[in-house]
Amino acid sequence: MTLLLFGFIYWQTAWLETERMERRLMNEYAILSRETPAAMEADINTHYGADLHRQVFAAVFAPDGTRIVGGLQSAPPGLAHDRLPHETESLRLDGRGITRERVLAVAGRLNDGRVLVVGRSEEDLDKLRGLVLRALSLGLVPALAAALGIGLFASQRTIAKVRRVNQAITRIMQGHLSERLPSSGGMDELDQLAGSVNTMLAEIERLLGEVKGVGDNIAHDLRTPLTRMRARLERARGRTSSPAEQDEVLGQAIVDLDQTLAIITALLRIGELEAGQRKSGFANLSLVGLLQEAAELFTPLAEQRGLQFQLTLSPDVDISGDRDLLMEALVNLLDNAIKFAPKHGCVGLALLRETSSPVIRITDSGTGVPEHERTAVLDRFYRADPSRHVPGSGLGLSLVAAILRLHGFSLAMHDLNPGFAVDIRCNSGEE
Amino acid sequence: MEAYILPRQHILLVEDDADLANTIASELRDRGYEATHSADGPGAVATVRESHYDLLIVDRLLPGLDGIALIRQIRSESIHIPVLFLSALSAVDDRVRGLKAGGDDYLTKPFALDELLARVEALLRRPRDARETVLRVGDVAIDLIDRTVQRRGRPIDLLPREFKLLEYLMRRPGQVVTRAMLFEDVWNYRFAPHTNLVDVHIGKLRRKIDTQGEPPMIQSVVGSGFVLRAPD
Repeated sequence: MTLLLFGFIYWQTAWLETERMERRLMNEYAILSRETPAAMEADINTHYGADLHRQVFAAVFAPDGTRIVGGLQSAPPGLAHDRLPHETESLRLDGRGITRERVLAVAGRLNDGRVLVVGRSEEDLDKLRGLVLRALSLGLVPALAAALGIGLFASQRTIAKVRRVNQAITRIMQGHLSERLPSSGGMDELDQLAGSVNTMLAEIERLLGEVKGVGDNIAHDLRTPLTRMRARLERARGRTSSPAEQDEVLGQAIVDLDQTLAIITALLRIGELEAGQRKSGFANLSLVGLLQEAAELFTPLAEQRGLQFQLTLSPDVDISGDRDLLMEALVNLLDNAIKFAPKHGCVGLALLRETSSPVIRITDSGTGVPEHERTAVLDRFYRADPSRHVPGSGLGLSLVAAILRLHGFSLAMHDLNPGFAVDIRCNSGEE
Repeated sequence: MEAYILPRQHILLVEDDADLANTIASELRDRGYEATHSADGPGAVATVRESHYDLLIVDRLLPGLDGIALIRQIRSESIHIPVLFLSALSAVDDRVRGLKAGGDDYLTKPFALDELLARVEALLRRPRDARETVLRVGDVAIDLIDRTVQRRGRPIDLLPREFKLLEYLMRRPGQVVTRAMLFEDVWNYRFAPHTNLVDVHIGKLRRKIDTQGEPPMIQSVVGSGFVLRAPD
């Protein structure tokens, strides 16, 4: 680019200067050619012979080519007599002798047959060209060098940065997940990219941590019943026991196995729900209908446990959802409420229409979930310690969370003082 | 002598897991069924064409011919055998697909053998005439039009769901129905609750039907479910 620019400057300067000289030569030719032969010769002798710088010259030749007057040995051979400027070579006469040089000359045959040649040494032009060229080179070389230097520096910096990024990536691939891509704190593209990748890495690290936690929990929760089962079976094999005892052992083994299978089934269902592929069962549902069904399903269970079941309704509203899944979520939540409600307590199911989105509230008169454990209880496998003795896969609330996520509903827990409430906020697009 | 023995009902089991197939087939034989095992879809189609079967138990995922394709094939040849799908695919969509293709019931692996047997029995028994408007088992009578129930002339007041539950049991006297079957057919839910919700509802119904001194109509079957039968 720089080179092109410099080339243009050079060409433009040389061309302009040449053109200016050509115009001057043609002008001088025109002036001389209009003079009488005597005046012309005198003029040439005085003006052009006196030119000490030998830049401009003129000469007149007889029709046979012999010199009449002027600073040229002979008419330059091959110079067309067309009164236009041409570059040619000529033999110049000066005080010391004959010089051969490149000239720009205009020639023309006068009316009386003589030939007038006006010319100018190109030395001047060459000098000018040289000057421009030198000036340009003086500018060009440092400019090029600077550009090259800066380019090298920048690319070296970038290469070093990329190398550091690569090293970081290698370490990450080796399993150092807490590693982050280096960032110089600047805002160039590479830093921005590193920033994005680092955000992504943080998310991946979090997810992997979660998966690992889940994996550990799965292993633990599966191992517990399996260990029990193994011990029982081993004992049963080692002893000669009665058929009744054997039956008892086998029955227990099946219970333990069922628990492990329940965990696996629940995990698969959560996986299926989280993949979000289950929208086919969506339809318009009446919330009041849904709550009435759930109440009808649970009232006998609550009564059996000596609990009061209270259903509180508001004006009906339709939502878009999967009846089976929502009922499954309600069953899980109501199941929990009934499990954790104290003796002679009460469990409530209510539809609230106080805000723009309808809210399904499940309450129990128990102590509920401590504030700091509320997010954790929605994670897979978490069970608040006091309830460890309560049978279940430990996945109920995770399943609820997955179902609500699929619907775009949100879940919140809060203390009622006394009592505890779980709210399902049915955010819907149509509201 | 043989002429007096009822022909045993013949079940074709199409399942590629040999161990599971053997266990199921043995269990079916123990319960008095005749069981044939086929390990792949195309073989099963040929077997069904050749001889008569009363029930097909088909694994959903089979080598050669997918379980659903197998049933479509059989149905397209106007063979109307009841079909029970077994599947490791638990997604509701898979279940719906299975039933749409012509399956009569769908059981997700892993399942209890008792659950399988209850469903086999349900599929093999001819349902009671749907045109009957009064069902009677023992001294209990249920009027499907008036929606009333009586035992020995004593009217029994039932909630709508309890009525539906009793009707379901009355249509299948002497037949074991599982909790899952009740939850699916009486409540129309496609998930298995972990709690004893169904037991509690059966308990309530039982208390209304069997009053003091009356022999119980609804019995629990350990490990399986419930059965309604006329007291001896």
